Amino acid sequence: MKGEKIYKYIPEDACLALESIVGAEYITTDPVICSAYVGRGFDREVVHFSGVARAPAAVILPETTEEIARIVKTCNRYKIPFTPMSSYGMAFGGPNFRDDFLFIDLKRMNKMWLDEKNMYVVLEPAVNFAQMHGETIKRGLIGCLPGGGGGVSVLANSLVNGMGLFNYRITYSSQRRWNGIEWVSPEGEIYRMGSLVEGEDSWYWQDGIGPNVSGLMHGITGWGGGMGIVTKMSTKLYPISEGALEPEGVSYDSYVKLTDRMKWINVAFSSEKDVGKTLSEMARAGIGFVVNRVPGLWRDIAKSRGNLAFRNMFWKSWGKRTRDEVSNRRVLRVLLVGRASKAQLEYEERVFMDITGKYGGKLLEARQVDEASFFAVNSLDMWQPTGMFGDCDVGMESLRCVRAMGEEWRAKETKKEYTADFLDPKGDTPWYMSYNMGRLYYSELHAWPDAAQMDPGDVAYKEGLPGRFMRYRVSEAGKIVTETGNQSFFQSIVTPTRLFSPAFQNYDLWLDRFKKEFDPNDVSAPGQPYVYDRMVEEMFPGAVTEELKEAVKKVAAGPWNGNPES
Amino acid sequence: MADEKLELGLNLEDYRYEARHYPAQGHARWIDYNYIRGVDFSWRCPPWQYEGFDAYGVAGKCSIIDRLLSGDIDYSSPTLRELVFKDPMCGSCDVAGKRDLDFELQLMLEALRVRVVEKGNGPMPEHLPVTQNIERTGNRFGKPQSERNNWLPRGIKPAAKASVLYFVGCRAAFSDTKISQSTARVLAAADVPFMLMNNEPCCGHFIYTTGQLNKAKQIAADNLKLIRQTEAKTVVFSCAECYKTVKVDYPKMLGFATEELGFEVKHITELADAWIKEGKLKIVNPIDLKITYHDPCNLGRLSEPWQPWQGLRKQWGIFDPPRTLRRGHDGIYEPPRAILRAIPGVKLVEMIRHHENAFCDAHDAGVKEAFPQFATWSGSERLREAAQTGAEAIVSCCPGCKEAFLTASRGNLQVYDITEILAKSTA
Repeated sequence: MKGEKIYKYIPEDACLALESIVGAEYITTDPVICSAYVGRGFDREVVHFSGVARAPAAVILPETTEEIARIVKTCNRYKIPFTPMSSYGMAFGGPNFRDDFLFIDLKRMNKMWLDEKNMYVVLEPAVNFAQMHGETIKRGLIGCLPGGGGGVSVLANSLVNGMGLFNYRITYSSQRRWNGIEWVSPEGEIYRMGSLVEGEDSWYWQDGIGPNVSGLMHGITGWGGGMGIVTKMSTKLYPISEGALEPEGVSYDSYVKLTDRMKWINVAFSSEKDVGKTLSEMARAGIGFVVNRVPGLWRDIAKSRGNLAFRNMFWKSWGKRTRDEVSNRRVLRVLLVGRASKAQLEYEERVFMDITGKYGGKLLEARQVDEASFFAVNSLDMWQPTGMFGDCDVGMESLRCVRAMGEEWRAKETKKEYTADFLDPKGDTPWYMSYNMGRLYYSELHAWPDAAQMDPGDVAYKEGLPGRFMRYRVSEAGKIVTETGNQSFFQSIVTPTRLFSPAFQNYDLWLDRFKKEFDPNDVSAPGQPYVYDRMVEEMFPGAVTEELKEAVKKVAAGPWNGNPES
Repeated sequence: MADEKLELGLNLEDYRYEARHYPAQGHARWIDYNYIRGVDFSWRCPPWQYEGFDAYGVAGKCSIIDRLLSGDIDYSSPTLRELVFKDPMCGSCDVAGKRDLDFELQLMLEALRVRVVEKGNGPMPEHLPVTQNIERTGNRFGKPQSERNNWLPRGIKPAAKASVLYFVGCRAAFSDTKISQSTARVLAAADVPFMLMNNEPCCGHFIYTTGQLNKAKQIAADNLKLIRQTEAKTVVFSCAECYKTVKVDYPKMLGFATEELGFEVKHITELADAWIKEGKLKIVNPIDLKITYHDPCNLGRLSEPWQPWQGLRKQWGIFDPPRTLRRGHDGIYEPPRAILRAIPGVKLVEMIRHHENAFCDAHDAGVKEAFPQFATWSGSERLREAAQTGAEAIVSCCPGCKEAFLTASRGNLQVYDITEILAKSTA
């Protein structure tokens, strides 16, 4: 056992049993080492500063599926709650309300096997996107990098939904991209699913004999890490143009060079309607690789690069932007790729220029390198303006629904109470992009409170601000998403699951039934996916307004999804 | 609304914001994503990779510092001491913290080390012999200072008075005299008169990096006085540790900017590169060797000039007055490479992790003394990466790095300091 031995929450014989599985150097109960695992990750501020996050009682570092299965069986025997974590991008993967849980840190499971010919890769949980792309892009194959960045676990992100910029071209939803899966159930049984039923090397297909149970693997939209541990996953890869993407530049301004079959184009439109028409026509024409409606704020973030503090640089430029300038300039950023040939790129560019010309698009300068799509998508940038980036909700629906949601959010941002607390986006609508060649649209509602003002331990702490932020996040955003008929994607991350469940056909009842069946001892991240519900109830009860409750009731009464026109 | 007053020196309380707000999604674990080329050689933090537990990386340390500052854990834990000192203080996480945001992670870790020592839980017992040697004899090996200039090769005589002072450093003076001899030969080949200090003292790098601030401050003040007394206009170093200590840590500890030192601080590679370009230093001998270059942390990402800053963090975190940051990319990276490229026959190949993404060999900051197994692993890991380039030799610019590679080497790669290559090609 590494460090101090403490058997306060997990009994000594259980600790010794766990130690016998991984060896003494890969398990600890030391409170200093365990405290490194408190509430870190996405939205850490809200959870951490609300005072509910707890350090685990022990941390264990397994290396193989078999070790994980034995660990989980031991947890069942001793009734020890456990939670797994791969890249630790999110803080909601476990029962961080409790003092007695075992944290299963999966970083030693970092192997990958590439099948270039059949275009798939088998991954263990700790392999991240940059590592995967490092191996696959030089062979002309890609996956889909998420906004969380190159350090995000491919496997864990795939369980979440795997959204990212390439979802425009390659199949949306990683759940439709994965093939065979190896899973350790909440009771510690090893299951191999999909084509793996044919044998240990048959990773090529998601379906197999019997029912497809991949729905059990859902993360955020499922049990939030509370349904066992996926230990290996095969995921499809997709062809990109030939040629390596060689890195250049210093860290704060690094990039990869594009091949001669790739081109970024930035176009400004005067209205969101024109952007929408352009997006629709592009999809019908079957052109584009990445299609992204970039808020003006992001452009100032991207340009704040140098030795002066980024924060100073950003505010120097953003502070000068007028509301008219921002709200009347809607920028579409498009990556064209000639996957088959250079002629394809030239063709797509001509079609794109025809379409944008029709809707009054004006070409802007575009740097012909890639900073943040293939390896380094990095939402850390979004912390730059204020030290915190609060995702309030996410909508997925038709273009019309997503735009309606954005316009309502924009109107809300002009309210004085809001602009006093949060960075003023100056009339821009939230980010959105096209998925699956225009079949689905995705948008995120963001708010930027000053991180220091949200932190009770900081001299700048602003009494009541965390509560107001949570009200905007839960009720204001939740109401807009619900009423405009968008599928809220961040269930159990930014919205209390049970509160919203009636608007989604009471899906929590299904979650509970499956959980009871597969996890009878309630040890696999118990409390999930309702940790967020509990935090709101205990720490921010005012975040749930009567208006929101009414909105949910109305939607629950029908028509379903709250959007009679959809 | 209270604006927060900050100094951003070596006071741990000034880094509470870092500890609480660093959005550590594992980014400091990896090198710059655009440079990653697979699972292998993608880590940036040696102790984090070696130990596995997050407490050994900066993300975990942020949580631990937060808890230390709020009193939830105390400073007496042996585990705390181990994870604080099992760290080569290489500045790699600092580059990550400043890639997208403005986090001072290296300064925070330096302040943590200082605080742990102040609280009586450091340095490590293994650090005491070296500390005592420096205090007693003026060099880390405890050798008589009278032997300090024994390295001088025949035929090279330092000037009694010159505008260039060669600060040799303990390792090159006592244990790896090939480096000092080669440096002297390069200076002679460029026809640059240089002087040596009378009874040159240890720069105090070991003392500072093991968190012994009060002792290090005294050494810095004494040494600065001695250097200034020589009236040198330029002080040249062949040791990256000494170079960074005088250029960055002395001003940091004593509260002024590097440009206020009163003399120019140069690494021999900066001067030699310029002299080659000017034609003052002639490359006459080709060297037929495939070389990969290892960036020493103290010459690369840690060597940007020190600029003190005091001010306020205001709403939205805006710094008033505006701050410039040492982001790690403005270190001495190109001169050594330019020198190697200038030598006919040398083929320079890069490892995956280079420039500010270079992987540390973990021999610095007391790691070699207290955790030799870890230090050897880290050196071996770097050699494994070097071997994968197909290079025949690994070259660096620091006696500490050379020692690390010689310790870890299994003989499949030749190991040189750049001064040795340069002296051979200019002789």
